[in-house]
Amino acid sequence: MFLNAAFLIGISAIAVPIVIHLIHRQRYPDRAFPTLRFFDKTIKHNVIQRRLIDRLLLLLRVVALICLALGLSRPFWHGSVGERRTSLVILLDNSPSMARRHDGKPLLDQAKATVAGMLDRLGPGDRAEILLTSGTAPSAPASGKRLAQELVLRDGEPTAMLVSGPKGAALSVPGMTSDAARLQSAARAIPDGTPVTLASYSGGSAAEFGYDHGRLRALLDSVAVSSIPGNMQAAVSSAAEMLSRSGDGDRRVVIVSDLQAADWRGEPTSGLAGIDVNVVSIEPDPAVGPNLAIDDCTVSRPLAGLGQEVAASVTLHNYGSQASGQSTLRVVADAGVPIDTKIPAIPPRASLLVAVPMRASGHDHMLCSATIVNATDPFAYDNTWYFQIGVRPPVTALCVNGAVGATGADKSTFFVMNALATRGGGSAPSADARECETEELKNQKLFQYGVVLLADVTSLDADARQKLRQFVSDGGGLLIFANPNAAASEYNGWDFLPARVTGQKKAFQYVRSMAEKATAVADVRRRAGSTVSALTSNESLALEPAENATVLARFSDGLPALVEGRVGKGRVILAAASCHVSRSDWPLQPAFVLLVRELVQNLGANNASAAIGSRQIVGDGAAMAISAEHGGGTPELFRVATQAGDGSYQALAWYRRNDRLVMPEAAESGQYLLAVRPDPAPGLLAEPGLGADIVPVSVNHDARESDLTPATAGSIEKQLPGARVSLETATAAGVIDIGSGRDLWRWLVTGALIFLLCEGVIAWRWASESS
Amino acid sequence: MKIVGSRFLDPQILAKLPNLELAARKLVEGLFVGYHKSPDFGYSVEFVDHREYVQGDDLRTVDWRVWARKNKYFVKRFEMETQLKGTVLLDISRSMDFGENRMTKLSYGSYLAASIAYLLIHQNDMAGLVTFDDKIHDYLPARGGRLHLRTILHALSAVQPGPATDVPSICLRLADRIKSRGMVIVISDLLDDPARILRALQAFQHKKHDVAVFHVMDDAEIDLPYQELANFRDMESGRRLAVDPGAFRGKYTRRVGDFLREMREGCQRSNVDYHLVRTSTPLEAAIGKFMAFRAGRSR
Repeated sequence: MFLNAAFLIGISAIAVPIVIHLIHRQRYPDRAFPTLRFFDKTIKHNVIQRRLIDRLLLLLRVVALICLALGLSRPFWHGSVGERRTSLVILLDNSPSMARRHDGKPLLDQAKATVAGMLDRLGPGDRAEILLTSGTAPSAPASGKRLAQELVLRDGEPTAMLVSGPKGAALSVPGMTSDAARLQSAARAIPDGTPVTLASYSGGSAAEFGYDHGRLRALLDSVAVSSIPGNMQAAVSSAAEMLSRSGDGDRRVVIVSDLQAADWRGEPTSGLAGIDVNVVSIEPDPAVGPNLAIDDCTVSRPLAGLGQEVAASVTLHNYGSQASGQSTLRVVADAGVPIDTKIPAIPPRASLLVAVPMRASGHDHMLCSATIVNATDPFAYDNTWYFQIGVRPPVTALCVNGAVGATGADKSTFFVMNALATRGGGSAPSADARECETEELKNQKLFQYGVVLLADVTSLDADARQKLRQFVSDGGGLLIFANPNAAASEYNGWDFLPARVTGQKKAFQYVRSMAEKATAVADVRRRAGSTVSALTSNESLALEPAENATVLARFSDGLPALVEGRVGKGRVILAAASCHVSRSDWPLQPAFVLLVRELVQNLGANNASAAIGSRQIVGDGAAMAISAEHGGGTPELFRVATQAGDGSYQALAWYRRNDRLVMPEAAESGQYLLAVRPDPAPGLLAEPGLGADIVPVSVNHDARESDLTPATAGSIEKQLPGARVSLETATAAGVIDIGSGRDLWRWLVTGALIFLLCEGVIAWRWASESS
Repeated sequence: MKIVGSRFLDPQILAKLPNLELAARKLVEGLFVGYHKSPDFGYSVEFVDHREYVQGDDLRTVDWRVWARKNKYFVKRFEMETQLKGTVLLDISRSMDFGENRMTKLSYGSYLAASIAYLLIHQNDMAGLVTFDDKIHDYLPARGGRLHLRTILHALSAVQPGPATDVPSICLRLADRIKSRGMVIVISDLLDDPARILRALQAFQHKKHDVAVFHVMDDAEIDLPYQELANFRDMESGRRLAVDPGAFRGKYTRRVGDFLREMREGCQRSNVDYHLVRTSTPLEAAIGKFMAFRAGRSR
């Protein structure tokens, strides 16, 4: 058996001396000479001798090359029973912190050199495996249309086919496609010149010990710094499990890491009893200079109206041992004009909170990033933070006046129109509001509006009620301020209300609380605070919420003040109090303005299917639910895109886990858009663009990687109970006793090289003499 | 007018020749009076001896003083100067077409033959040319005059290498064919059995010819300067033999040296002028050396 079987290809090099020999023999010059009388048989005999010598030399050269190839391929035979061999698991830390530079080189390079030295000292009978502490991209991309077609047509693999189009990208999922013929047809139809990338997530086999050290060297060469935080505990557990299956006499784990303290916290790893663990530290460099990082970023409001002012609070932390210099924090929103903020010097181990005022813009959402521009620290991984702000577009509202014949301030719509109007300070109006009379409602084109607001409307004819119901069922919003003087029967005849009116209340009441989890009033609750209790009234309706309704606010006596219900695709909110000062004190309070504006905005907002959190850490993997409507049938197309610097979107690989669309765990930090929509044909999307349902995801680095504080020996030993732990430095790692190998290969290589060297010298001297 | 074959009369070569006369070592027969002593007696100023008068003798040659003393008729005999008849025998076999330098042995021999013919005719002697390999190709009997020189040069310019050589047979045939005594100059690489060649040259000696041999050899033939293994092909027989020159140079040069020494010593025993000429030797030097040698012997 051979450790580096690939070098056996080198045996083919014997063709070189053979060919040279044959060519040389054929090239004996044919020399005309006047007479051969002076040559005799003795000379002829010597030529035969010369040819014999040539053939002997050829044989020796061939043998030397074979020895060289065999030596480099490191032949070995399994030792006899009872001979001591080594099973070695090398844990290589490729977490983001290994991208730090020391002496101009990343720490990972130093770590890889250390591991390579260990592989060199492995004996032929030793088994080894390299485990990484951080995951790598699960994709194994293969480029080129031909290759894509071959793979798809031959194997039905991979599970994902990424086709980049001229303006965008689309992702086809053969694994979801039951019609293989259509899939193959789509693969054939990919236009020439189209960049094609294949990504497979079928999963590799579990790590196993192997004698092929060449494979390990190839694996080591391919290791790069991951963007995913390291998980030392999981890696050590895997190593312990592997070694538990080994019967070799010497079982050893070598951990090559920068030994961040964050990696050595948590539950101790079991299963290491009797195992040697060498922990090799790669230059932890405790005297690291300033190391700025963005730890967090919050926004004053996650959902803002268009043009509304939003403050982004960025938390900066200096993880280094020296104070940072002056730097700049740059916030960019939707690739717009950057907002630069000067950052003063931050002492070591100190944080600084920086508030950056912004104004909501864009459509649906605003993708932002905060970056420390001119940081001088050696670890740039944590200098950028991505965040997003939801942007509500202006809502078009129709306010229906319930006070028949009233004018001016007597109109029941007077105060809601005032609330929805542009406020001071140049802020944009929260809604484009128009008003009409009750009898005009049946003539209105309601599809032009996002929200219909009924102000003290007490009676609606059947046509108007039917029209309103259809409007809400199609996704519209309906906000009703009830007239407390109306009879209960009038409202109970409306079949789209979220509550039933049980009676009238003639007593002083104020709004005592608002629901904590209701998104419709979350902003009101947060911003108005205790001032909501100023919403008082002496007249109101007693409401009994429907079964599926949500009580958004309650009066001081516990009865519902605001009830929300869903009708079809839309929602209805019913307020138990009036919106006119003749019947309620609500319109006189500042909280009323806030309440009306937020309720209108909320009802007018799209019913996005967003169900994921906006704060994702690299390695978590972002996912969105695939609705049954989209996920039930095949084929389907899904897309994951990342926003490039120029605002365009680049498709990313992704995979499906049950009913969730998942980004790869190895995703870099950045802004992502998850979209899903059905499509009748797999393959190339004809119309690049984003899907109907879009979920923006901001993925950020893990702050744990920023803390470069080295772990103590005690904490490491505590994590490895039962193991024989020894701590080494990278320079001393060479003395670790690894391997029980035989040196046959060294003799083979050395002998072959000496012979070839002598050959070269003799040939050179012969050539010199000939010339 | 350009003379055909004049490339063999390189003026630079001829200008470098020493101011020596080509002198015959022996008296040769000739038809015309020249600078050479004739074995025949005739009209001249130098008295040689007397003989008894026989019928038919010219009465003007009767020495009347002897008649007056002894009362017997004796006639006076005088030395008579005649022309030299030189015949050049040029070997044109395929082995002569060998040359590692800029000139083959055949070219070298041709220049040599042309130069000798030119010299003979320009000193009012007669020159002839025979080219041969295993048979005689051109046979131009010795004559004088510039027209004959042109004929010789034309023949030399048309020379093509023939097949194998047979120097002894050709020499024996020519010894019978060349009747009048004169000078025979053999230009050849003599790649044959030395004993047979020497016997053939002695045939000329028996016919009272003055024989000179130019043994033309290439440096590569003598020194075998090659390094790499090569298939050596016999230019005449076509036989091939793989030879490692580097390993056998010493033995080869000894064999060639033995051959040359045997030829030289055999010629000396047969009173034949022997001149080993390498094609790297300047032609004028070879001719000059030959003429100086001849002049010394004639004295």
